[in-house]
Amino acid sequence: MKIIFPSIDEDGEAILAQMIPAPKFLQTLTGTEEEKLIHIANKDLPTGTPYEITDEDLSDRTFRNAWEYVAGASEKTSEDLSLDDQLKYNKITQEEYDANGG
Amino acid sequence: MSTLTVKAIEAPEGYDIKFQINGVEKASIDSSGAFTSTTIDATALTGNLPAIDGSSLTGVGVAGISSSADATAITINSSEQVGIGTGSPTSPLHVLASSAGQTVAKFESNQAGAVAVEIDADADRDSFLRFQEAGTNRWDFFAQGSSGTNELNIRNESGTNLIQFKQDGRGLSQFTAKAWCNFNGTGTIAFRDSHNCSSLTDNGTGNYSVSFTNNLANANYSAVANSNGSAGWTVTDSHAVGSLRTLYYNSGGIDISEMNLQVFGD
Repeated sequence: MKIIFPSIDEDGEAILAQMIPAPKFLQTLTGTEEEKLIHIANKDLPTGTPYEITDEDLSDRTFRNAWEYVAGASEKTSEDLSLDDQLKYNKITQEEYDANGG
Repeated sequence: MSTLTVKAIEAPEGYDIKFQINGVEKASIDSSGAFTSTTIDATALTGNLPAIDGSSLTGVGVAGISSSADATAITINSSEQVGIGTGSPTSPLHVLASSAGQTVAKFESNQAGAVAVEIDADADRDSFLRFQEAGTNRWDFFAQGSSGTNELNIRNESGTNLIQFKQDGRGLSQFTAKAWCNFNGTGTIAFRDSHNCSSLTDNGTGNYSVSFTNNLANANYSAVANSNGSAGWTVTDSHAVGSLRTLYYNSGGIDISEMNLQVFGD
């Protein structure tokens, strides 16, 4: 399974991007595969980015730069990680963690 | 049991006095005054023993302890500190080498399995192994408590962490890679292997981004990318604390079957 989301290419054109998790990182996560991908989306996508989790085969890269993201029924939006996870992944400092009530 | 009370025994000069029961000798006092007994019932001894110079006692032991020492080997001071090789222990256990180059402590096992030496701190406390030179700190192997970073540091004489070993397998220093990966950028792109990378993003033909599991401290890191392609150039750009983009291109992007990235920095 993978995460697909809208992005902008070098020419400023809308394009579909696909995010593939690292197997080693997946092994460190708990929950269902979808829960793990949601965690990765929250971690690696800017907060508020629409995305979908799909197992669609996108290996045929014909006209790759012309692919566009079209929102589907299962679209989600990336959210902030918990403070504990933000600290764990070095996204905030210990001081920022403490200041925010962590 | 009958008791025989002897008020006084006097032997002429040069004679021994022997105590026998049914003809079997149980104890004797020789002409020099040395007392010998086959058995002394310690539970029957009463009164005060005269002061005994321990240095003249050899081959003396108690159950579970044997000694052949002919000089002081172990000293226990009034603070219950134990010195081995020193008569002035300054810690609960103080071992002092007695000769140049001596191994002062050895922990050995001749049993199957591993042998361990444990340093067990209280909950949420640090523990460390310190190397000193004439009382001056030089190096520490410092284990942070679990309520802190829960990592193992090697510190120099200033107490500065030169390398930090994290529980997730990362080794953080100026000379270890913060992240690396090898991925296939064709078909459905995928990591072959990686370290400190959480995801790989396909941004279009020959255009990829790698997200780091743990962010770097800043974006001024050094990143090196190379590929197995010979038809274009491999570059990195868009350095961010949490991700890095790499491209393989000529006049336009080209998908590449093997891309390698190494990242060094803070």
